[in-house]
Amino acid sequence: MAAETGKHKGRRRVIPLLTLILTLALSTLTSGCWNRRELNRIGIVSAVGLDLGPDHKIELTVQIIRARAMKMAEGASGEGKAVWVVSSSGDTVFDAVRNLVEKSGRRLYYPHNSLIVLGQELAREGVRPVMDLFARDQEMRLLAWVVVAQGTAADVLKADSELNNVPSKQLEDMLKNYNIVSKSVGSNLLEFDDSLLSKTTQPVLGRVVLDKVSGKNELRLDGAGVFRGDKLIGWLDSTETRGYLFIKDKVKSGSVLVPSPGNPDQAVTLEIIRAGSRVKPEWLGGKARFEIDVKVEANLVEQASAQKLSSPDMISVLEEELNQAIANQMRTTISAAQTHYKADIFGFGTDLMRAYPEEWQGLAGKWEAEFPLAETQVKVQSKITHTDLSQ
Amino acid sequence: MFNSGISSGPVSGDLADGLQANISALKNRFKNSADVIYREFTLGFASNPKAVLIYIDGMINQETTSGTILKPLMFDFDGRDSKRSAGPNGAGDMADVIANRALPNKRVQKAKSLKDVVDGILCGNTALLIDGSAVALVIETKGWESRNVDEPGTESIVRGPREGFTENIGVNSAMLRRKIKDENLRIESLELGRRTKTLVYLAYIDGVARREMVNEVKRRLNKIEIDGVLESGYIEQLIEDAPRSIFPTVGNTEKPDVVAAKLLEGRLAIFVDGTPFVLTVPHLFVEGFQSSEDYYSRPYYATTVRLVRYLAFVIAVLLPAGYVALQSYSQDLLPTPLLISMVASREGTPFPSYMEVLIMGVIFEIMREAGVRMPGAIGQAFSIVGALVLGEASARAGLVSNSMIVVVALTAISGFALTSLADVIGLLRLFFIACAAPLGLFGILMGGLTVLIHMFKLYSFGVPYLLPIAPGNLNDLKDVFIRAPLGSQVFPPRILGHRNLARTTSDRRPPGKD
Amino acid sequence: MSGRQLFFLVFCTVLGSALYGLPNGLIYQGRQDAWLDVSAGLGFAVIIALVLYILGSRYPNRTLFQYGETILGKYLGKVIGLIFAIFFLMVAAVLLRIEVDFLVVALMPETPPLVFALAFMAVSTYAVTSGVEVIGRLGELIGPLLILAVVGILFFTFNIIHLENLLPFFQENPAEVIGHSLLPGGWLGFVIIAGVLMAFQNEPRQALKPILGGTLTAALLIILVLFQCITILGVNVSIQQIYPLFRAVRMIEIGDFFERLDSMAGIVWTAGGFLAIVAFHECAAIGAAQLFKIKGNGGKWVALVEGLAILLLGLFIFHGSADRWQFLRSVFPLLALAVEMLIPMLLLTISVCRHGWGFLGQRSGGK
Repeated sequence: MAAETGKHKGRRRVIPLLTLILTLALSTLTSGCWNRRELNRIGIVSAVGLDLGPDHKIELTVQIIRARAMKMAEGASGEGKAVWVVSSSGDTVFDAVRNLVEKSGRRLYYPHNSLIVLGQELAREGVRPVMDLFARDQEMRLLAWVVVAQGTAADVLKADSELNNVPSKQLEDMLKNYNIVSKSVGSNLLEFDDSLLSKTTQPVLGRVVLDKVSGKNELRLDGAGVFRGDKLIGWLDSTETRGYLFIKDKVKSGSVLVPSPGNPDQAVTLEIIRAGSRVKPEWLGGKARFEIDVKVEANLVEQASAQKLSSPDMISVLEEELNQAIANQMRTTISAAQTHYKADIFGFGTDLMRAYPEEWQGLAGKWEAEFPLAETQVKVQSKITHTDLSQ
Repeated sequence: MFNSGISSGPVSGDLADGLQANISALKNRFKNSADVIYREFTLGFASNPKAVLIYIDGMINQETTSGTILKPLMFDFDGRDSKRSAGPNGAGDMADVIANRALPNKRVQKAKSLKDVVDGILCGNTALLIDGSAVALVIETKGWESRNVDEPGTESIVRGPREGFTENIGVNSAMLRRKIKDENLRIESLELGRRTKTLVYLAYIDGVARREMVNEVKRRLNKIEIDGVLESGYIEQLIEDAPRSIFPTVGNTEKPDVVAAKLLEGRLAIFVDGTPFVLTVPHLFVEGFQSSEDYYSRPYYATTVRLVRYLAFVIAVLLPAGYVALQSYSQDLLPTPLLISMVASREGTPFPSYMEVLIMGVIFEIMREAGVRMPGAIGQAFSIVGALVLGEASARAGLVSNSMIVVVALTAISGFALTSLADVIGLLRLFFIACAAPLGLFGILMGGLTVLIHMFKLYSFGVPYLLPIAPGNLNDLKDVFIRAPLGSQVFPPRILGHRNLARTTSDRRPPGKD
Repeated sequence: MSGRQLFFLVFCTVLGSALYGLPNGLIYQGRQDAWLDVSAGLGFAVIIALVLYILGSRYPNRTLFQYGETILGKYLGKVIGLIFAIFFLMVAAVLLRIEVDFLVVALMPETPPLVFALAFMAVSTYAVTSGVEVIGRLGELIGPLLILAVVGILFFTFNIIHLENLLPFFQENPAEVIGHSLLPGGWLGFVIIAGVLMAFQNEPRQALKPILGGTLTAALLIILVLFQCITILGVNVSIQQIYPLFRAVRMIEIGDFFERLDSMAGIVWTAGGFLAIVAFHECAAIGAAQLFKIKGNGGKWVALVEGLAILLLGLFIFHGSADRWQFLRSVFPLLALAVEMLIPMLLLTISVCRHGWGFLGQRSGGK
């Protein structure tokens, strides 16, 4: 009896099974128009550049990886470039992206895009309209680096790289290691987006400079661009950027030159190997005060004079000089931000908000006016550990 | 009615007194059967009645028949005591006397009906009919050419007993009995198949296997109604819980030590005459990942190997589907350099990735099937053609991409690691490719859930098919993904056997420490 | 069904759908204090769980749909049962829509939503026709996977989190907390399915631990998810993004080569969300079968019809994603809490008035 019903059940189970197989087979055949992107029908975008074109149109430039050429390049050189740089324009970024398909034929694939370059013109006009798509589109990664070019983004993307088949990869590597040199900033889309959304913190982006060296374009990451709101308002040079990075606790290493003790013409090079900083906000009777504590560990790596510097006395002199040098860098940056740009690029407002949420309620609206008046105190404590020579 | 060889009707009717009547009755049964031998002779004692030995050529041991039946009856036995014990029915007594005093064979049975005689002859016994007697003697003389105990071809091992079952059920049950010398080892016999009359043994250990399970297996075996059982696969398909499922709910093995281990865990074994493959029930999914060798080697190695097997299963089932999903839908999951080389190798190939996988999969299956069936001598040429021409050249020619060949090869090798699940793996692989082709990873997820739900619904003889995994039981999981040291597996798996039976109580502390 | 299966079912039902349905809304409401709102919402869920447990031990082996008839009489009881059944159906449809929208927006924008919905409901119907036991085992398998997927994010993101983003704490006043706790409360109140599933438990008396445990674990993980979103993305971006956790997972980089793990995580979350749909589908099917006294093979037809109903309702219930968020933030919390909390409390009160406290569990032997 039980087996009887079992058999019965079995027979009935065949129908859904057949339906399932049929559905799968049909959907496989008809799904060509859905989301399937065969690899040989997509173009991998490795970098995106945005410029302001004539008539306030958006000029979109992309680097598309030519996979074939790239594979070939490993064996025989001269097969052609590994990337194809192509531009299009449109009223909005999305429009330009769509217009690009007319040129490329293939559908462009953005998830592997790791770099967004903003042209100076566009940055000065305001970047919020163009950044919206990058935050909204789920294909884009928030990890992509964002930099601002001193010239046009298109030129940056067209520049060659001697080291890497894909030029944008070199720029990406530079950005990844920005805090080894600590002379420029690497911000990713998330950080940039966050500061664009913030009402007090102003965005800072790394600056890409194009140098003409013997007829070839060379890319260099140097300094940073300062924004107010979504508009580029000026630049920080490499020293000011170093100060900015110290305050933001983003320095990993970098070299600092101090005058040799007793021999001011000759320099001693100190290499920072560890650095850490803390910003302590205080709200004292209607006035904001920020105490910036920086702790630095450095090594003596080069000295021009023949003096013996490895004695404890000399080291402490050097440490004092290092303190001064770093503190000066930070002070320069702070004064540039407070008096010149009047932009809270350090996120002091946010720090204050976190520490004094109640007081912040009344302050939030007028922070822009309050920031230039804020008092700052810079304290640096450095320690020189190794001199590597006993000299 | 056309009647060739053995009569098809039910064999019935009693034997007659007269020898000639019986012979002609039997000759009528075995019409047109050249291999049935009628050896007529005269008994060397009493009133020298005529007698006949009937047997099938090749199924009996010739020496036994001539040495222990013909020789005593014709020469050695003088029939001295035949009168003394003769009762009122002389004819019947004649058979008794011969059975008791003249024949040294291991088993001699009296048969009164024609059917018993015919059955006996068909089984390879020799029937002795004596003139004037309505009782025949069926003498056990089975003896035919059979394979020796040998290393099994399907389950190769490095460590452990090398012997495997043979086609002879008596030898097989003896091999099991040699492993388990316990009077509670029960071996019940029954005969299945209207025409093949195949002998089937059901083995279990009383007190370890659960009563209900034994009864259930017996019930299912007794319900089998079929004309022939040529291999244990027939029985497997007739007693399994879900005949339409792709998952096997009955296990099989060629190795006596495996059967013994399963019986000790509370399972049952079904031996079928004529095949070295012994069935074990209930069969759970995880058994496909366990090997007898796991228990013979030390736990760390066994655990590693077992995890590798699960990995191989996942690769064999999901890799092609995952490859299709990654290639056609979720390219973002690939590291950029890998994506670039994949794009490079895909340039110019004509088919979408799922077609590539299917084409290569079919080609591989054909190669495998050909490799199994092919005479060994042309193997060398075959592998050159298969591997070089089809693999290398098709990529060179731009028919399929290079990465695809890597995927198909890896899938195939992983499939070989789990031979007992080979059919399941092949079907699941196809199913998942079909899921991934239209919907990518989401399709694989939905397909996976469907398969899981199906597996959750499966039972093998009242035991959930996925037992120690779901419904979960931590204690039994000690023998699923890992192989815990023997001392910590003290119970037979839950539900399979009686739980309170400790399997080992030996002291496993290192010697010298208290 | 074992205690562990009940635990994981409750857990998956609450968390599975919350992973991408909730964080944005919660952070939008409570900013850094969203975790406080969830904790307050947990209060509702605990009350619901306790009420269900007491009801369950007073009327063992009965489901939510049958309490009404036992307590209030045939007709009023049927109405109450019907409200529950329709509520379950509706929640299943809403969850289906959330699920499908997520897949369409985040993973496969060009595939028609109908395809996802159809796949979900086909497999869900298959699961429901296979019975409670099968669904329990499914939960047992998917549950740990879900925990792994959420906690695993922690390990891979420790280098990109900014703990200071969590500050400042305690900016909401109590009234705001209570107002904001309705949404998480209604969501955590999905523990209501235990009122149906408890009847299938081996030992209903020991059901309290798995029910409360499941809700608590889910609430903790929701808080963990909120923290992950805020520490990785910051409050502003978390509010800006519809699926902040998804975007946060996209930030993971493992050793320079494994990046963009979001599709993988999205698929695991989808498994959890699927289980939530199945749980509500199952409960609705049980409800319909019990209310209309459908037995035997008819139950399968009920599951099929309800599957179709959920499919259609899910596809047409909202106009678009804006509409859906509006519903989730305004109507849903009140509606959910009314059905999940008020009605069971009402039932319990009447039951106590009629039979007194001493009734607790006395009938169980008589069954």
